[in-house]
Amino acid sequence: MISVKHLSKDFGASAVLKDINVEIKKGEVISIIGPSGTGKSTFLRCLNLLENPTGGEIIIDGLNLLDKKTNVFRLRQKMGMVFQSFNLFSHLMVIENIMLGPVDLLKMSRQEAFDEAMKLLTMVGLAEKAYAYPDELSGGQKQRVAIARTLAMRPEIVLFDEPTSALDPTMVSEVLAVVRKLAEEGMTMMIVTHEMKFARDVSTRVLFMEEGVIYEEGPPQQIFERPQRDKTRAFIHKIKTFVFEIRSKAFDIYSLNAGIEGFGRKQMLSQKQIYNIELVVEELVINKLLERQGSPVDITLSVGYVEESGGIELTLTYAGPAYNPLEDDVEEGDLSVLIVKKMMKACTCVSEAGKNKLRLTL
Amino acid sequence: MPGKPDRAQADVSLSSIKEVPITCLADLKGKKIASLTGTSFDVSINRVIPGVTHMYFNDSSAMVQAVLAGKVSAWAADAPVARLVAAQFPELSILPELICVDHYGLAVRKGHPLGRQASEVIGRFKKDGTMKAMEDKWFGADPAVKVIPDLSGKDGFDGRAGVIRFGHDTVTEPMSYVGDKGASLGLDVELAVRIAHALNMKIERVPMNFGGLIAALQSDKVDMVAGCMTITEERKKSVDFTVSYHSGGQALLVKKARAEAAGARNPAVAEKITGVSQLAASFRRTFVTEDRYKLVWQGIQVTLLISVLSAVFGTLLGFGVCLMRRAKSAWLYIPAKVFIRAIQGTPIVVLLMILYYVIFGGVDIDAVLVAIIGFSINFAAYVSEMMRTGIDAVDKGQHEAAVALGFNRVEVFAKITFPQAARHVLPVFKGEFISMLKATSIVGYIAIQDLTKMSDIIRSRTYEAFFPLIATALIYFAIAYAMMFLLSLVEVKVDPKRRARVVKGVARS
Repeated sequence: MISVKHLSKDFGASAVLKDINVEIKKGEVISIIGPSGTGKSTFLRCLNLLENPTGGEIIIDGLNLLDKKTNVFRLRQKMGMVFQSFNLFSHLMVIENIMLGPVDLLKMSRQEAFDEAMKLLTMVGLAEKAYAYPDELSGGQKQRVAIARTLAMRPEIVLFDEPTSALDPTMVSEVLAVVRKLAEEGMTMMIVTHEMKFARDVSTRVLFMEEGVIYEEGPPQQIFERPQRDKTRAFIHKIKTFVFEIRSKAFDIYSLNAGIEGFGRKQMLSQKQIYNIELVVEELVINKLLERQGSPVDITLSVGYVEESGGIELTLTYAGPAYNPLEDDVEEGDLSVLIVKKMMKACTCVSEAGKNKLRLTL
Repeated sequence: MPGKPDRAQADVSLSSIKEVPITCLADLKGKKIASLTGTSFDVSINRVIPGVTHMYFNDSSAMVQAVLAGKVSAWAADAPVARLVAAQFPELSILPELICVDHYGLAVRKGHPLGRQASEVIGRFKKDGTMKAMEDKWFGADPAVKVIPDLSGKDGFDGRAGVIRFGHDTVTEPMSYVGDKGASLGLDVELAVRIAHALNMKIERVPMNFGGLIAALQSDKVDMVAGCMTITEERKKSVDFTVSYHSGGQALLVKKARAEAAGARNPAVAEKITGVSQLAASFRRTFVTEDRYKLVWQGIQVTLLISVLSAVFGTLLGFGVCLMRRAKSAWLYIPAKVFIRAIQGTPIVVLLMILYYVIFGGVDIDAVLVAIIGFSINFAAYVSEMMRTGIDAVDKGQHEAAVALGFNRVEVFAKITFPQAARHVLPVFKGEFISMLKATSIVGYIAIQDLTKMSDIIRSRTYEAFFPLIATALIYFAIAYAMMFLLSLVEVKVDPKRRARVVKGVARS
């Protein structure tokens, strides 16, 4: 139905979208997730040309949206859009907001548009607010009216741009319930959202966007339960990380400790947890890994804090032949190994192509 | 002098300021003297009295009040005018010494044959007694005979020789003024009418401010002007004069000493017996005598015509300027910005005069039209900026939502942006319209007789300041109030909350 090829968008010097490729089929419910500022909304806005893409193609039912000859206004009518800030027409009553498009653009009779609008209002549960003005509604009600207004144009796809981000937490569910209902009815939708549980329940496909590209995509089970790539995993599990690179045997240990301390404070870790991290890092890096490193030294340390579980993950990536400092060539009574093993809960070590990756859970 | 010399001396000097009457030209040394803007009294006075400060006024009634109130020591006027005023105001007297003797002439454009033709006719009138008869009539006391004779059709007149556009002053009774139903009256006017008749030409009378007469002549708005105009060397540099038709003089009106004035009784003073009867008399003089309410009504119509049409065209033009100002192309927004800055930085009086005397100088165009053009331009500059802020104040998200529904830019503007911007703009628009309506009071500068000018004309006849000015203010207030009311009806229309909550064209189910 819609296929996007090599879509890119620059704002001046900064490239917001780099190379987006995606196929959207009829009946799909696609959630777009990802950290803030990675171009999720921009991507959605490019789809109906609220933003003009810098390059690439958007093909809808065989017509290229970026072709100068294409009637953009016609094509836009097939794509509804629901905004974060509702954007209801404040000088019109709720019912007039919904009737405006059908009467003026679809050339429906006023009576027909009115009846249709009342049906939609009933569907979103707001029939009694038909004669209210937007500023007399709560945020959740406004967003439901906005959805009804979009549906009144009988779109083939509805784009939701963070529909619940501007809402009070108490009103999020009433809006999501409406979207869920639409999904059940088989409406094709694309939803930019931060509601992970909702995205997991309702979507048929999830796109994870990171730094202007679709970093990982797949069915919700994959993205949420078995993310294939690090950044996806970090995002899904809300992992905050601190990374430090060691490039010399005489590296600055104080700077590393100060970094861990600062990160720990920021994540509200206790002084004891911070001390434990420092201890483990010191034992592993100084006493075990450094002596085996060639020149130059190539060790990357990453400290991760998993918000959901409160756990701490240490990841050490280092060059060299396969080597697990906790298992290989360990002498009886090696104090460092004993200390680390006492502190950690779990440990994995993989080695491939001259790179080792040791992951500890504290 | 023994005793209290200081006190006695102080008394003398104090009374000398207030009471010592002016009896000769020398007494006016270093004093303030009033004269009409654009006249040559200042030059003549400087020749005979040293150190005078000149004060320039636009109408005679203001000068009478200024002399009576002691704001100026004397008022310089043409002898016939001075005599008439002195007869009406017993507190005023004419100094026996004249500033100078002078000669009045009709002025025409340089090199225009009308000057020579008119001079010949004036020569004839002097010989056959017509001139003398006119002087007797206009300088006399009987108001009943003071009308311009209707000469059309007499002596084989058919007006084939052309038209004389005759500009004349409005405030120098008995020479040149405006009377009953706005009719041009006075010796100068009758003379011009008789000259036109003698030359077999039609005449078109254009009442104007004295100060604008020569400018109007030079910019070809009129062909001949008059209004007690003294023939001076300086004026001869810019216009031609006919031979002199009256040798008058320049006189000074001063306030009489209190004792002298007490003996005389001013009709205006006599009516000060009760406030109510005085008010009634003022009302009669200002509105009823000579059907002056008709003048006022004409003035109101002109004021309304100029303000309403300027508001309509100014709003349309302002909308265009606003669109240009909001455009992305520098070719559009820079001219719009320059236009707005230039107009906002120019006084409307100056703009009007530039339009009337310079830009439309050689074009035969109705002054009212020029005023409408000027005020439209001025209004547009202000309105365009108002509209711009109003449009910018409309939430951008709604614009996007409408675009996303499939509306094009024009439709979005018409259906979403405009109705909301109108609501932001109307309250300020109302204020700007009212201030424009009041600003139209300066159109007298380009020979338009609006409400203010009509009140000037009436005051130049009644020599009264208080009542006509207050009445004019009240009329302006009433007009402004009515306009505010009309605009607030529109305001209700664009305020969604004050509309009935019904959906048009739908049977409510």
